Amino acid sequence: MKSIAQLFISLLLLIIVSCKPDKKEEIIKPETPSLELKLNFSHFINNKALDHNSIFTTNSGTKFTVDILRYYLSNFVLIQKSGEEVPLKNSYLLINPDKSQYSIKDVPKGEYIGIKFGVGIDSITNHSDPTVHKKESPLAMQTPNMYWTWKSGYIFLSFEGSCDTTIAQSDSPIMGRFKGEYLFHIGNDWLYKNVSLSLPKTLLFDESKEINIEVDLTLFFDGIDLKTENFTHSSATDNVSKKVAKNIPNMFKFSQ
Amino acid sequence: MPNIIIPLPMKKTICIFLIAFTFLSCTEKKEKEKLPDPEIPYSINVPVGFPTMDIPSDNPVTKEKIELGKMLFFDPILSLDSTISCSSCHLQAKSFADPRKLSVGVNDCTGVRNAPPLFNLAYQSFFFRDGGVFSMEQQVLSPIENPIEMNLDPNIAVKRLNRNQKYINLFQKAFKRNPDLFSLTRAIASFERTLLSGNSKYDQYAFQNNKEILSSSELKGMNIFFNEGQCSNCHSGFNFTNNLFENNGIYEKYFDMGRFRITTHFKDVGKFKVPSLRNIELTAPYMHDGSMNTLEEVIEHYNNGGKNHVNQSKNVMQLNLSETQKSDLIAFLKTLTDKEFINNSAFKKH
Repeated sequence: MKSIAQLFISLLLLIIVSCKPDKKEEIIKPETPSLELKLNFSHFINNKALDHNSIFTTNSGTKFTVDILRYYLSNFVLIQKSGEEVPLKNSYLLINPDKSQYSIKDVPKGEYIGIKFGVGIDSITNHSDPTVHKKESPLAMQTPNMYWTWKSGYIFLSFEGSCDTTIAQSDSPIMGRFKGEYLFHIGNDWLYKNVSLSLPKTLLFDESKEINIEVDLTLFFDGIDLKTENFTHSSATDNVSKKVAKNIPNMFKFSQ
Repeated sequence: MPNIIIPLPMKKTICIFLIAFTFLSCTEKKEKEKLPDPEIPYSINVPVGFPTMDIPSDNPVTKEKIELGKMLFFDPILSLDSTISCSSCHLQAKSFADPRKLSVGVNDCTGVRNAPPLFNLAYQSFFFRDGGVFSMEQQVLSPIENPIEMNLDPNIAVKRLNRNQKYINLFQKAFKRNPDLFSLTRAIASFERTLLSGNSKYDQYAFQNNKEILSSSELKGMNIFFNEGQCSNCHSGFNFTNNLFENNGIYEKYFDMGRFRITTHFKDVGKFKVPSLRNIELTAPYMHDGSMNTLEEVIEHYNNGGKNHVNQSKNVMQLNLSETQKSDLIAFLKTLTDKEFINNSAFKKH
């Protein structure tokens, strides 16, 4: 009888000793529901929704089509009613007009009256290594490309398509495309732009909610003659990129 | 301890249950222990007289990575039409430089700069002639993507590697993951980190205590290099570079603006990374654009003091060297050739 009791105790000890390092401590997570801020983007040119088949016209009268539009929005900050700013961590979005809804997770509850964000990538992240990000991350290497591998920096905005570059007579599009082309690759720390928008009404953010942002690309071409100013890699001596970057913050506004 | 009375058959059951429980509860741990670690730590031996090498914490060197990196270095799979590999423009016999003025990429494209040699790269803080990239890992992406070099979307390069069972196995062995841009760049950088050149005649003289090895002409040339010629103002230290950017005055007006392209400061127009002079005998043609064919031309340029561009380095000035001095200087530069490096079988394609 005694020996059975000893065996019992020793086995019990064995279990405790042998399994101690394996014992998983339960992590008690505080009950904070993760709220999502959903952002719906719609893109327009002269009140016409952006697509890849239509012919659009700039305010100065140049006709063009759109192949690619991609841009980064980053470092979102919500402005509370009290004026206090709530930065949203790791908020990097790669906007592609072919997809309308984007979301930012872990947004704290609050009453918000405004929103701020950058167009582009902040200087610290801008020159970091894109290969460390998961394939799904907007900061990973993209196709079409949004990173300059020769100078270690993100392309903030990429806008490409065809346009009528003829001066005297007008070019008639073949298969929906003009002979001329435009390419705007906007990047570099000095062209990072901040946008600050007031919400149309106070946003009581107590559950995941959606907000709608309208992007008017007509304003992208403000002061730009697309017939001649249609190519930039944002080099230092280039003026087109500076003119365009100045226009970019004006493109964004809230809609109901 | 209170005496708990349990009927015998039940005790047996408890014991068996407990024994079974002991085994069950520990299985998970044992399985974890059984997993072999695929990474064999590997330490790179640096040449005598060289400082220790900094290795990024996210890319410790392993034999598997080096082997995989080497295979990728020689494989045209990373170019659009599978015709060009890293080794197409970086030839070991030329200390991994290109004897052509300008390298030729896919579709016979040429750029505007001469391909630099590859050695002692772990001691560089900047990559490319304008220093646009600051890690060896990130450097890997550019030649793959560049339309005038391999012209392949890096994401497509990764897709290709994932269709190749040989590469999937090798990436799994080296990184415990399938090919992706992280592992691709880490593998090639690991191989490139092993390209160390430090056993030239000069190294044997300076660091290996072989004081007899240099001829009197070479010694005179060395004296000019470090003193009268002031070459070592820029080409300084064990790797014969100050790792800075300088305008060496080869043009009055620069078509390729060099470092300016990155910094946008006008003081950087015409500045390029000061290259190491190791293996300089093998890396013709010279200058960022390969515009000088011989060392004689290069020495003549520095002896004349440059074209006086506004950003020209103060270290480039008229030297008034005699013909004998010039040939002594060239004799010294040729002592920087490392034959062991260009013949090292570890760097050759399998």
